[in-house]
Amino acid sequence: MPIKAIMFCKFDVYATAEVIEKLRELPEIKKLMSLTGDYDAIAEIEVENSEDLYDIFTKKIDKIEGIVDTNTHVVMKSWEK
Amino acid sequence: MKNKLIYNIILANIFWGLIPVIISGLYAEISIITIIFFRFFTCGILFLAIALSLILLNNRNLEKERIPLNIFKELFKKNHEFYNMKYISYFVILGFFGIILQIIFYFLALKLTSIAFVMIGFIIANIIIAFYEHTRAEKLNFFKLLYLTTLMFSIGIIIFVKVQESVNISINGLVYMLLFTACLTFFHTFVNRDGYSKKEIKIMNKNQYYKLIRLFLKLAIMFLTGIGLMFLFIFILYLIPIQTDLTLEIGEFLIELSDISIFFRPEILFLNTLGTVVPYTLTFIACIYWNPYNLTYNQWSTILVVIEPTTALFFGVILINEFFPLEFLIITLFLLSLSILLRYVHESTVKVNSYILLDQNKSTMDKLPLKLLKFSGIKRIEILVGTHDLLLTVKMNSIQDFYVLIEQLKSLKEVKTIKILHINKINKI
Repeated sequence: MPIKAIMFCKFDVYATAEVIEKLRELPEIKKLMSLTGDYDAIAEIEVENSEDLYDIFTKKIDKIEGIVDTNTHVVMKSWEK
Repeated sequence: MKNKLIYNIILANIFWGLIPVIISGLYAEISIITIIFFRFFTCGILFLAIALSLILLNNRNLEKERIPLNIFKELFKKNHEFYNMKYISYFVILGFFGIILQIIFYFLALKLTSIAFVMIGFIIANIIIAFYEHTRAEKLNFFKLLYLTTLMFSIGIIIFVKVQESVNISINGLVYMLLFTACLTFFHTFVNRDGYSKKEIKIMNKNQYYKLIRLFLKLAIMFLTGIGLMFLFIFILYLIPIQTDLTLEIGEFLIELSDISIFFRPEILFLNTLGTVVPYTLTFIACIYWNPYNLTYNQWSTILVVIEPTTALFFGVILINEFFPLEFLIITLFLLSLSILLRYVHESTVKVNSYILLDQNKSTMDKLPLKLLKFSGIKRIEILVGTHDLLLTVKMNSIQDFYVLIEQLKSLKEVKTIKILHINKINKI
């Protein structure tokens, strides 16, 4: 069953543009927005299962220089109108 | 342009812009009331049939969430966005005053004056709505003022041209044009005050198809009840012993009602298909499948609504030789086109796109999301596992509207903490 996760990121202030570019290239990241507030960006991640979620973090996101902190939430349910 | 559904709105407005030209030849032969009856009664039945067929087709498909027929009971619930009236009452009022009466006055004004003159009514309606938005919350900033000025200049040019034409403008025509403007303003102001009940939101989130069915149903009810009330209206008017343009039209309508061959006239067929069914279907599809990268469907509809009077004016001059000197036509069309650009810039600069992170108090997990969806501006709610409980996707037309929303959220006893994150830039979507 597909998993959707929301990742809030904080970046090193001098590396923001490069980090955004690297995150954009990841196919698992479906939406990426720059923010004003406690976090620098929000990324919506969609993967097939928890194993893929683990892989994207350990093999891809964790390797990107310039990401200072992440705070990830799994989406249980969405409501839309 | 990434969002191709904008072309649906453009095409729909172009089709609507053709209507005055197509029916201009009918006035001498058929009553306006007959034209309106054949249009809205037929299309109302058709939209109702489409809605019911879509429900049956959906329910046959076992992979899709079933839509129960008793969903129609939701029509008798209160619409909190329209003075707590029942949804059915809201549709009836909007159908008669916002559509049927609007079109009656529209066609009467077209018959007694000219296409260009009646288009003033469209433009005035846009100006009134823009000022109304200002009094509610939206700031009258530089681009909006420029937008309004451009529209006023275009009105000025049309009036100047009509005065130059040396044809006396009928007082009745002017009155009908103003009444048309009033009804159109009412329609545009209240057409989107259509919240969904909790049951409908639940079905919509399991089956996106339901939103399309609901739109067809809404229009069907508006058309059919509008026609029903029209009969009452013309009956009352006919009893009043004062001869007006409308009573003459009613008299002709009563004679023509039994003549089914009118329905098969090419102009009536155009009015029903390309003038009604096709443009409404295009806009419904755009509304359902809209994926706003920047502006919402409603904002784009507001921006592009000027296309209808622009194309009507253009086609009126080109196709039926309405008097409008070429140099003034070019200037007017330029100003109206410029107003679209100015409105787009205004909407882009004042909009607020944000995320709101909420933490909620214990034992409120099941009720809060549906409660929050009723608030204007909240488009999506995601229930999270992590340090925060809910993520709200918010789109507002102004920062003042956004502040109102924040105050509403703060007043909820279910909400513990609120964190606001404004979207700076969309990097990928």
